[in-house]
Amino acid sequence: MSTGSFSAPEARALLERVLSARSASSSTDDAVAAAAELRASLQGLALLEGMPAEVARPAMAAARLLKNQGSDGADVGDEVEAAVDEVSSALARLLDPEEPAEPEEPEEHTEPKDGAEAPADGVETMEGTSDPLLAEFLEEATEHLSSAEEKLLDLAEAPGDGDALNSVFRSVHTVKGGAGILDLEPLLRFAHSAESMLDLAREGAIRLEGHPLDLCFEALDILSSILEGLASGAESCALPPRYGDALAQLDAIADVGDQAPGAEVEATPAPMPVPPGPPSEPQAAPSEPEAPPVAPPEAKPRRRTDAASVKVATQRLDSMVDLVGELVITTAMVQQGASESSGLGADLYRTISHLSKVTTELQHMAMSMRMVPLKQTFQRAARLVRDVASKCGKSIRFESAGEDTELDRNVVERLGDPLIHMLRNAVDHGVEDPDAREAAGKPRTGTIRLEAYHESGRVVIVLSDDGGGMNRDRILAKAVASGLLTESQAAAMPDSEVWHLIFHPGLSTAQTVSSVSGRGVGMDVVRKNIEALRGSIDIESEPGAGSRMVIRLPLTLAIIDAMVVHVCGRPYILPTLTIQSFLRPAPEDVQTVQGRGEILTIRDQVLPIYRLAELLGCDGEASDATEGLLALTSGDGHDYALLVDDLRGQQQVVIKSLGSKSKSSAGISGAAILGDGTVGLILDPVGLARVALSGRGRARRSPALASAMHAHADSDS
Amino acid sequence: MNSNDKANQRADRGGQFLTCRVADEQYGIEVLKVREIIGVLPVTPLPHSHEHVLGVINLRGRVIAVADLRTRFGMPYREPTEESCIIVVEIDDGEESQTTGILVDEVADVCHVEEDQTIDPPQFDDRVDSSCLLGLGRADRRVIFLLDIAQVLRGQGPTAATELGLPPQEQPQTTP
Repeated sequence: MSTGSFSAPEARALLERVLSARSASSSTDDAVAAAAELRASLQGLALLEGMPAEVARPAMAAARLLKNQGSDGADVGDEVEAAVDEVSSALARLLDPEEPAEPEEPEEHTEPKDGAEAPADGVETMEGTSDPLLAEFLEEATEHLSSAEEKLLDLAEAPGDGDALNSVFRSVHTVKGGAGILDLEPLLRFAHSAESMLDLAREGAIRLEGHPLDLCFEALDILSSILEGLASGAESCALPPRYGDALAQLDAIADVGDQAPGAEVEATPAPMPVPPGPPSEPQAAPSEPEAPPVAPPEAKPRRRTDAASVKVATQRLDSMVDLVGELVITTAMVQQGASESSGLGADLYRTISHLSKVTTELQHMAMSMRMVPLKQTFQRAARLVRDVASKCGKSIRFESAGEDTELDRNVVERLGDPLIHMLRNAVDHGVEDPDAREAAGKPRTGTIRLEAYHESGRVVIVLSDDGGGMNRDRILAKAVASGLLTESQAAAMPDSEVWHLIFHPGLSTAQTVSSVSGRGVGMDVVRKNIEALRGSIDIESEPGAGSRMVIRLPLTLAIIDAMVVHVCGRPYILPTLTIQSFLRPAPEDVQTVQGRGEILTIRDQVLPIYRLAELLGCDGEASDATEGLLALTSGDGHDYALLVDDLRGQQQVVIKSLGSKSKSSAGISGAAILGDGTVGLILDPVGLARVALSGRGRARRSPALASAMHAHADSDS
Repeated sequence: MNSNDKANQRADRGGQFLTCRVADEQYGIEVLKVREIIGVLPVTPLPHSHEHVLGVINLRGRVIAVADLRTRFGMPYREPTEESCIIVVEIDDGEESQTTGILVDEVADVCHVEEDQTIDPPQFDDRVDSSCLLGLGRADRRVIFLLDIAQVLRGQGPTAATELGLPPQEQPQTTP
């Protein structure tokens, strides 16, 4: 972008405002109002169409400083002063080229400009830049787009909602401003066109419904994908394929609105009295990349306390959780030591009990830090329902509740895909066409409801629709046709089991395969994904009234309820969910086959008995199955009984990864730190079953292992 | 000294080494790869793992694998003594770094080995795994076997590598 393309009179006026506001802020008693004025005028200056980076940068930096000052009261006067000086001298140079350039122009400010000045030619690619400001911009812009999308959804619900429209406009405007500062030409152009269209809508020249609204959503998508491309750090990123097309459409609408695209930008008041500051600035990223270029060398470290949220690398969080876990154990040891030694003062006891209280609280806090609300997931769902519904020509209202319910970040991330499948299904298969609904005596607009709540330590997510419900006959016909069931089996099957058939791979009941669903690969993947999250899914359906899918998920993947069992004198951990029951077998229940293989007969069931000690390659104490305990479990497609020496209780454990995939096949899925600080291995019944069938348990035993286990003499070699 | 160069190029092998004793042999581990030295903690054995993988320990809340250098070099396992130590090394394998413990009989000191004081390892028959030696170094009139610690842990085949390869924080999947 060439320098000097901005409107000089406007810039002069703004500069005057800046300078007068500055002198006012230092002299008058109403410093707050003066600071606000200064900030607004600085930001206006930075966002002025065509303002080159050497002015925009320090202006934005100063505005940001002022914003922080407003919230935490830090004294940033000197820094602001320096930045304003820089703004005024840079601007003066631009406005008045004859004036000799000031020699002490800091070179940090010229350098990024040079980099960004690379011509952004064509619309197919755009240059990325390694600018430190870029990272901040990307983060802010992403947040803005997400809030714009939220508002746009509101707007779709209630057309003519002026506040929502203004908010969308402001977000796009801010993105545009940032793109201008950073010389991101294609982004700027696109944001500009989108802004123009939104502006027409604000003036009432067009109505944001139907095509223009869809175009708005698409515009936000395109802006997001450009941002993503930039964030991926590529040297130059490809623009989304729809870029040119959407841009042309936006401009076409703007033209229809009977205003030249450039004109209404002038009409848009550049300096907004209340700057469109982001609701929460994502400032507290681990490093503050923007600090070096904008802060003068003598700057005091800036305090930032206004961030509503902080982004932290997951790895740091994990290691903090690890360390807190260790702290809990150490505290327990101190407590133990204190209670055993006599003669400690009462003060010390009090201190120790206080320490343990604080530690427990810290542990809860650390665990809760991994939790994120479902809000974003629900927002995406709303958007998806809207898009799919308009593709299918259906009219659907989306309701949600409990979006503040929190879940472990990992769970939320992996929940996204299954939920998308289910929502598509609900829109495509669940809710009927408007005409069919009317014929059935229902309102033409269908409803899809997504809600989340806590229930006995788990999170329940319910997706319901008021559509036609599932068709028992059709599902059964499909199942019979694909050879899954015989006619007579099908006839006798209870409804609840019929619904579960849809989780079977290859069964899709949609009568036509559409672009959104109907290929029968969705629901089995859904169930697999949810089970991988240690969750479960249930279906309720009533013909004519709709269906309900109920997903139950653990709060976190990091913690499981576990039974601690002993074998070979060591504790091992069995996830409670994998165990049906424990029992001490009566002698008559246990029989052997060919002298070796043991079986358990229980309630008309015959189960093989696997000795855990053997599977792990050590020797257990229970030489006779009746002396140990049997855990009834299943894995690798069959039920079996696992013989352990003893059960030592139930506790929650934090799962630590062993990483290697081969562990699972060896019957170990992970590890956990036990109460005494040692590592306990988490058993995987599926892997154990495989080990048992492969006979590997008996075959290999390492001397180091055997010795370390203090094992007895090797009995089977 | 750049550790990347070291991995690629055996010739560059001078520098600081942490020396340790295994049986009567002196080995050197590049100081830059050593994170810390800890006493012997209770080890939980890992079933079905490679012979020289003793098991896992709790390193301040992290679960890391521990390898026994004796067993790795084909010597008989011996119960740890008062002098035994676990050297915690961090190996950067390109994208991810792995933290692993190595049990040795004794940690001696850190010594500087001059580049020109190192020679290639002599040729042995296949009873000696010379792939895990960077070379031989002389310092203070001692001869130290300089270990390529990544190679030591990579073990004698892919099995051992996966057992010790601990990519960070992968959630184990338990199938109900």
